[in-house]
Amino acid sequence: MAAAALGKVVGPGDRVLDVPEQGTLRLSAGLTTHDGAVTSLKGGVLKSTRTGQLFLEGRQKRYIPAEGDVVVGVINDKHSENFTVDIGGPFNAVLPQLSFEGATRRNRPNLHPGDLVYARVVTAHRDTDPVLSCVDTAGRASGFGHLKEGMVLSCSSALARQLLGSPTAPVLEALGSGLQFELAVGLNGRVWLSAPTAATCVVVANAIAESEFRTPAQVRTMVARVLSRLG
Amino acid sequence: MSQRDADSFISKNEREFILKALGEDVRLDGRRPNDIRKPKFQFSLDDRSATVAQGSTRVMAVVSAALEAPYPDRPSEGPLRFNVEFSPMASPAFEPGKPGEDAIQVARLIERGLRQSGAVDQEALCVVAGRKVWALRVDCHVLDHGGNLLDVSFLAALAALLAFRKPEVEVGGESGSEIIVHPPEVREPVPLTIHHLPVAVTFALFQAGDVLVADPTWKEEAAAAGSCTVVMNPAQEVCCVHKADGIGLSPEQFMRCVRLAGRQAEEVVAGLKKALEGHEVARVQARVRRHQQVPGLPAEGRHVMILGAKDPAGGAAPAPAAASGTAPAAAAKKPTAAADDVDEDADIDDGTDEEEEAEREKAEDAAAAAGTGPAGSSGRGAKAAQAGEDEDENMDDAGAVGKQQGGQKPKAKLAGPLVKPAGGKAGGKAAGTSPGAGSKRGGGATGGLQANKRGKDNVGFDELEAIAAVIAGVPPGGPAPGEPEPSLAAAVKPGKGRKGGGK
Repeated sequence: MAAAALGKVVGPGDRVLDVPEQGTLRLSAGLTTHDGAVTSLKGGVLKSTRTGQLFLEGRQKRYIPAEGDVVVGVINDKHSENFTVDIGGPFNAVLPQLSFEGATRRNRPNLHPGDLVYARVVTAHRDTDPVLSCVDTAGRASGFGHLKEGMVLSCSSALARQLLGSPTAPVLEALGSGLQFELAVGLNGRVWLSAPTAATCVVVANAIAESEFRTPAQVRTMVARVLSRLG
Repeated sequence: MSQRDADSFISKNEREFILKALGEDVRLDGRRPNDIRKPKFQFSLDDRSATVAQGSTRVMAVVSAALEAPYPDRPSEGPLRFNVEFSPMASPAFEPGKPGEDAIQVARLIERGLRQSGAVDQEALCVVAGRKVWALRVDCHVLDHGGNLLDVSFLAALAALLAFRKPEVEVGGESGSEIIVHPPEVREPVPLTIHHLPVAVTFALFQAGDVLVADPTWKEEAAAAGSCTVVMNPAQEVCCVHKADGIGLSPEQFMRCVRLAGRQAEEVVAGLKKALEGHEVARVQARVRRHQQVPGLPAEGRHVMILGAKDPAGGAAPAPAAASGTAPAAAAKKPTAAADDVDEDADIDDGTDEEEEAEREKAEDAAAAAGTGPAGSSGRGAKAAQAGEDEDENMDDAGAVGKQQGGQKPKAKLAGPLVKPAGGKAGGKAAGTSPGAGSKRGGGATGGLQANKRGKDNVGFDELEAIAAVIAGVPPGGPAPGEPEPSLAAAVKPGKGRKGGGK
């Protein structure tokens, strides 16, 4: 029954589906139970994560951090024990200085306000500062940490989710076949891009932004046109 | 640059990237350094507001007018105030509350560019010198912040002032010092007097002023070393300059700004004029549509009868202007629909059909002749409309629409004497009954226009009765109301559905 409701567009306060008598339903962002039914807290499309959690995806300017998200943040402040990072959410996040690979009390990361970091959200509650970490659960960097150079593209969290999902988003596949670039996608709606020339970066960024509402076929045609123009 | 708090803080990477890209003559959104984003205009149909979107920046400006006493040191000028609000929905950096420094700075620039440059004629806002003037207030709401709020707010304010219509005011009355404000349904509201069209163009400065970037996005603004705004009109006159903070410019660099701004101003004003023309058409069509609804609707129901000021046969009035062209087209459609009604109900109103035919011939001529002096039948129809105004809101709208249609070609319609060109008649006949019905209404409409101008003092009691009968849905009995009334009743057919009305 939950599967049938996937993809349904709901408004705030709508009754999404009834709580089944048996089995478990895991609810995530934007959903709550009320009177025996699952109701929505905001407007959006009902989706489910790979692990089976139901959530509502709607366009919003403000990012609401959730545990396990990967985000691109800008360091605002350096304190004695941690950094304050702006991730575009209601509160600035806290990134402990020791949450980097190979960091010890003697060997602290060399980051300053204005630097970009790729981190994952360790804890996120509604009314507190989220806590980030630049190492994965096993203690390895695995891509997290300081991002050097490049540019940042602002997009919706929906597009970011699409870019991170598997199979690979069609726009990335198509672009990757013709251009050389690297990117780090943050679910807070920020995508870090780096390429040998600034022009390539700009092209990739615009192509990604344009691909949000297009079908895979349209995306492929668009990218092919762009690549042919670049020569 | 303006203060930025954490929410709109950009990273070092982005700052460096923007500079690096500018070195390759590339901007983040693919524009070239001198390209501005093309503004898109949207006007409201209540003649009060305009929304301008340039890229992802959106600003809505609303104009409101009130009759007030003027400032004592400027007794014959109407005040013009600007207020800019940064809505919190525009950017996470904006907090709700009173306008902050940045918002006030934008409002001040708009005031300098539109009021102090003499773009808006404040003396034209005077009603009674020293006592009553129109005080205008323009509120700009920033709905989305994608950079360059100055330019877009300025353009929104200008567009709103151009789209604004103030109610017509009559000074007189019995004592000679009464001020009568006519509602838009009674008299067509008038636009403001705007002498020239200034446009603001902002440049973000990089590399000590060597690199100018027109219409910056908010990231470019955050990364820039300074900015400069030049307000110019298409006649290449500099209305005002805003160089508040950031790095300085040498005179050569500044003249470059001015030259570039001049070019952009021409393009922007051309786009604005085009959008206004399109809006004028839509505005007329909306009013025509509003007056076409099913007569059975309660209270707001509008009768179709006094519409179509143009002779839809088109022969007599070529109507060169596109705007007035669509109005008759719209008007022509209504008569068609009305004619359908007439045909439907032919079995009910047998007796009146022949009369109608005869009436239509006469009405055709009257309307074809620029529809001004409705003598005889049309005149009665006009008075009927006039009477309606007193009696019933329905007629108000009919009269008003007549006015609206009349307004399409005001001078031509009102000035010409009653002439019967053969062409018009023939054209009318060729088109069949529909133009007849339409032009009948046209005659009534413009007659209504005339009647209104004469004043509300020539309404006969029997016409009031006829109108009341028509509204009540009863075909008026007896010859007393005069010839036009049966046609009116037949044409309007209150209580019966209209086919295809409003299209």
